[in-house]
Amino acid sequence: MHTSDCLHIYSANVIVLGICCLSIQFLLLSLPEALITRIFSFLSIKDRLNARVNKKLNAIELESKYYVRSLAIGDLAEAVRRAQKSVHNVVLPNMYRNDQLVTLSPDCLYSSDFIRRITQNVTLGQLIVGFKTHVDKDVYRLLHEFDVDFIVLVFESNDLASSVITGSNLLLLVNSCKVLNVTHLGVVAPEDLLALYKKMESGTSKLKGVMMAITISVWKPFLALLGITFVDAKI
Amino acid sequence: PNVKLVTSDNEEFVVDFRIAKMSVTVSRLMEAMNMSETDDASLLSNSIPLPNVTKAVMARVIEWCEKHKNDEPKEEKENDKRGRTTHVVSDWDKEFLKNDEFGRLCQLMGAANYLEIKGLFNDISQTIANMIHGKKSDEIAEMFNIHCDLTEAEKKEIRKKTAWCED
Repeated sequence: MHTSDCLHIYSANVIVLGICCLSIQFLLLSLPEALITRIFSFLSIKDRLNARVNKKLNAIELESKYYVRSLAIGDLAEAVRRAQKSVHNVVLPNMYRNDQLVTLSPDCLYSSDFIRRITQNVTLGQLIVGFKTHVDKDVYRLLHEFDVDFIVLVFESNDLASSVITGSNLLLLVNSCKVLNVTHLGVVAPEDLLALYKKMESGTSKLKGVMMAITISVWKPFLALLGITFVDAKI
Repeated sequence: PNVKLVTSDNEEFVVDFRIAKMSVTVSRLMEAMNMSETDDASLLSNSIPLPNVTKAVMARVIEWCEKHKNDEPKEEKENDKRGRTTHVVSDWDKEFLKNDEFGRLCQLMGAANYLEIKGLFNDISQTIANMIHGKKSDEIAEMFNIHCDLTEAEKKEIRKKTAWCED
């Protein structure tokens, strides 16, 4: 560990403490960066962000990579409740038992810059995004900047999903996460599913699994594209 | 068997070999100097210089080590390596660190880091993190008496961006 320069810092502090009023300011900021980073590693996202009270701490926070098991953006509870009503395949493992779940509330104004700021130094287990009344396309585009294993997109309705869940947008996510769970199919065509399937099948994509509500009207032509037809209960 | 440790202000501490071994740094130095538990002469004729630790801080470190010398070594779980670091500070340790003013705590943290005494280092890291936890930016700045050198625009931006973040 790099502490060779500690001695000088501490001895300087001892002098400061000796001759002037007791101030802890110099002590926190003069800790080696590695130690401040260490302290940050014990903090939640919110605490970390609040601790950026000056330029130095802001820079240290940005430079230290950290892992968050679960991050939720949007009005999640409501979105999930509705989605579970209409679709049964919404799987959100452990999320409510997880003390590391961070919810970014939609009640306050937020900027996509802030989400971009998080993407710079966080690694995520799962990212849950709830789109309730409108879809922020900037937020959607930021999805692929996250380093994340599992992305869950919860839409209020298929109409809402249709504005971003298109074939080309879906393909943008193949290298973003390992598993993608989308509550609505949007306007994904059978050809788009085939393109997605090809990428996953070739093993070149990071994506290994997709969970989607696919209706028969899409399934059938998709299977036909693969050369599978189903007549009188026979393949 | 006992080991002699010498601090930056030339104070000699004589501690049990087991206590000395709790510091990875001291362990390595003893090894480098061919000091062994079974070789009394090697322990008597050598002392370990610790130029990064003062007498006052060393006394605290040894007090902590005395209390923890019989602790079972903690197993690192594989899944603990990812995610937010968490550490449970025992009641005794809380009491031990309670009366340290912040400057003292930082010195102790620096010493625990230099000496590589993981348990103590984690105790202090968690204790300082607990001081920050749940506080707003201005409260943190006030607590640590940090002069904010951010511009008004930067401050506004940070406020705006953290406003909607809930734990």
